[in-house]
Amino acid sequence: MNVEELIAKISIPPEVLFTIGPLRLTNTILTTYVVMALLVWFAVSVSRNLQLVPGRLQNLAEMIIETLLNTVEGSLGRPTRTYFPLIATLFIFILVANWLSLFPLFGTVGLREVEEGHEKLTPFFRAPNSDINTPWSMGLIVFFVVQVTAVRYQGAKGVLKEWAGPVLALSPLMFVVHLVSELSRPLSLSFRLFGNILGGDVLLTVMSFITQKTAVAYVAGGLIPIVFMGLEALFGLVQAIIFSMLTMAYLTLATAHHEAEEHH
Amino acid sequence: MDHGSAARIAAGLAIGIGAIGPGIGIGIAVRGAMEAIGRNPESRDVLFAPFIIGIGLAEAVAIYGFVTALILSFVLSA
Repeated sequence: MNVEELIAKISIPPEVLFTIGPLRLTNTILTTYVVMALLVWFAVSVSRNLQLVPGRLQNLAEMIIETLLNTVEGSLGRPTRTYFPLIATLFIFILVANWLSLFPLFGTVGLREVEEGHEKLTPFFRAPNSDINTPWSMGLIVFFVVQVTAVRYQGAKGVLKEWAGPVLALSPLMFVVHLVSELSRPLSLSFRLFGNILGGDVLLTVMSFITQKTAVAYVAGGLIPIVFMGLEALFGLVQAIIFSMLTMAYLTLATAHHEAEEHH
Repeated sequence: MDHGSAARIAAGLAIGIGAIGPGIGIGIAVRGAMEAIGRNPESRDVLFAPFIIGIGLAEAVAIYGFVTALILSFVLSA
């Protein structure tokens, strides 16, 4: 493999596997459905047969949910039960998607095509979050939920009052500032996740390439990418934590003012 | 200089310069957390979540530079 082939291997948009009418099935979509199927299977097989004294699988599920619930409850307080499903789903989905994409089938098994004399591999599976559409759609969901929550807890008047700021003369300026800060939230949320996961993919590809080409390959060729895979596993967890914790922080901010007013 | 080379040099500059600020920021954050844990080892659990979020926010700036670099080198340089 030379450098041109390495560059050809790195692609920012997801690869299209096949098209059904106007719908394009990309490898990130396929992986998203695999992750969803895994999670649904796990949820169904745990909850179909719930017992007072939990078995092994139920114990695991209860441990995960309890840890998450305690963390969210500590920050969000009373409205936890309303928003916990969203926050926990985001966390679990991002974590499973990130960790699953470290498995061997990812990026290596796919359709082989010959294009202009070059062999091109279209992998079946690719990390869902390395496609900007996945994080961006999750970011949009969070954005709309936070706006609706703010209106629900503070009222339309309260939101407008907060956006206008304390000084009436400065309110047009404050309005623009608030608008930019609100709109930057889904943008920064999604680009952070996207950049980290795509960056991890590119890093792993480049590291395997470098270690193939040098004398190091004969000694520790397989070991060096493994170190970076360990790092990627850590980053996958950290990004899942950051995405869900920031969602929680935004929701806490949106619900907090109402409760503060109640105490006066 | 042609368009492709300019885009590649810009990509290198985008991530190179863009990583300086977050690097300093994360260093300061880690120092603060380490000092806090050193003074009060029990604060470790309380500090963890805000620490991770703070680092994530600082790191996001580097990620923007990285995304810019990727777009420059793979989309605009072609």
